[in-house]
Amino acid sequence: MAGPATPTNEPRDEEFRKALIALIPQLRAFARTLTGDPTAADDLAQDAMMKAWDARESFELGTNMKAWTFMILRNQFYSEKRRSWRQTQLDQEAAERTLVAVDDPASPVALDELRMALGRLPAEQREALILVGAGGFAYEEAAEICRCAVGTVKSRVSRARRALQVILERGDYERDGKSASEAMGSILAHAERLSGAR
Amino acid sequence: MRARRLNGLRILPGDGNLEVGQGVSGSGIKGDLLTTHAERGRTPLEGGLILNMARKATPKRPLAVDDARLRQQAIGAQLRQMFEEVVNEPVPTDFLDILRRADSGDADQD
Repeated sequence: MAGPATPTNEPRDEEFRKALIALIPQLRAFARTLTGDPTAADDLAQDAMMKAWDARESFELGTNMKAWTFMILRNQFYSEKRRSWRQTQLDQEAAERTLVAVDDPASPVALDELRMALGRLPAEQREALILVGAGGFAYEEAAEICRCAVGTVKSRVSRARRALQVILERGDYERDGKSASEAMGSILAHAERLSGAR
Repeated sequence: MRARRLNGLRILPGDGNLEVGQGVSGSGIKGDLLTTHAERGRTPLEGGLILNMARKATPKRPLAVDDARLRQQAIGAQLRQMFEEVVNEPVPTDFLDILRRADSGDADQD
């Protein structure tokens, strides 16, 4: 995966580089959930990776590098978002449409439904849910990444879960011009297939 | 105490109106006592007691809880799959190229 090894001056840099490369898939996935767009997500993940590389001296090897890089990526995302907040707001609906347009057409319908519904959550709820529910972070780690209290993360995750369920059950968003009223049904059916396959 | 009837319920007088199923127990609570048909003929407990009709009637609440839990589990599984889907994608070569250039100090020249 890493390709031919690049010579480095210090063994520590080499170790850091290997660890960073191993985290690229996770960083891309987190970035995808934040931006909702594969191209923007990869740009964001690359920027975050560069920042992590530049700041490698400040990282203590052996500590939680995943949480550290996720925090850098998140900061980068909100930093860019603040710079272009007006543009972001104007393009919100377009971004949601893009989310569908760029999806792999072979992807199960249920996943598309979930992506659409996630796009309707407030950003802070979405990131908390992704970190804890998909990224494998403990509430404490997610709180560190989001720079907020543990209780805040718990509350955001809880609210996100409830809101997501409501959105999926009501199907109150448009999909190809039609109401996605069968969203929850698709999710349940897909979950059943997943559990049956195990 | 003299009871009156409303929609099949026997209502005993009190100082306030409490909701059915509020689950109040013990003494010292003043409120209307609501009983179901099944409870008729029983002597209301002293001090005020709200009988939970749902508890006696049907086990709907546990089913609803199970259903909600099932839905949350399905969403959770879907969420993890969505994340894993991206994690399992091949990493674009751009990522490794950028790191190589940064490593060799060429990044600023691009």
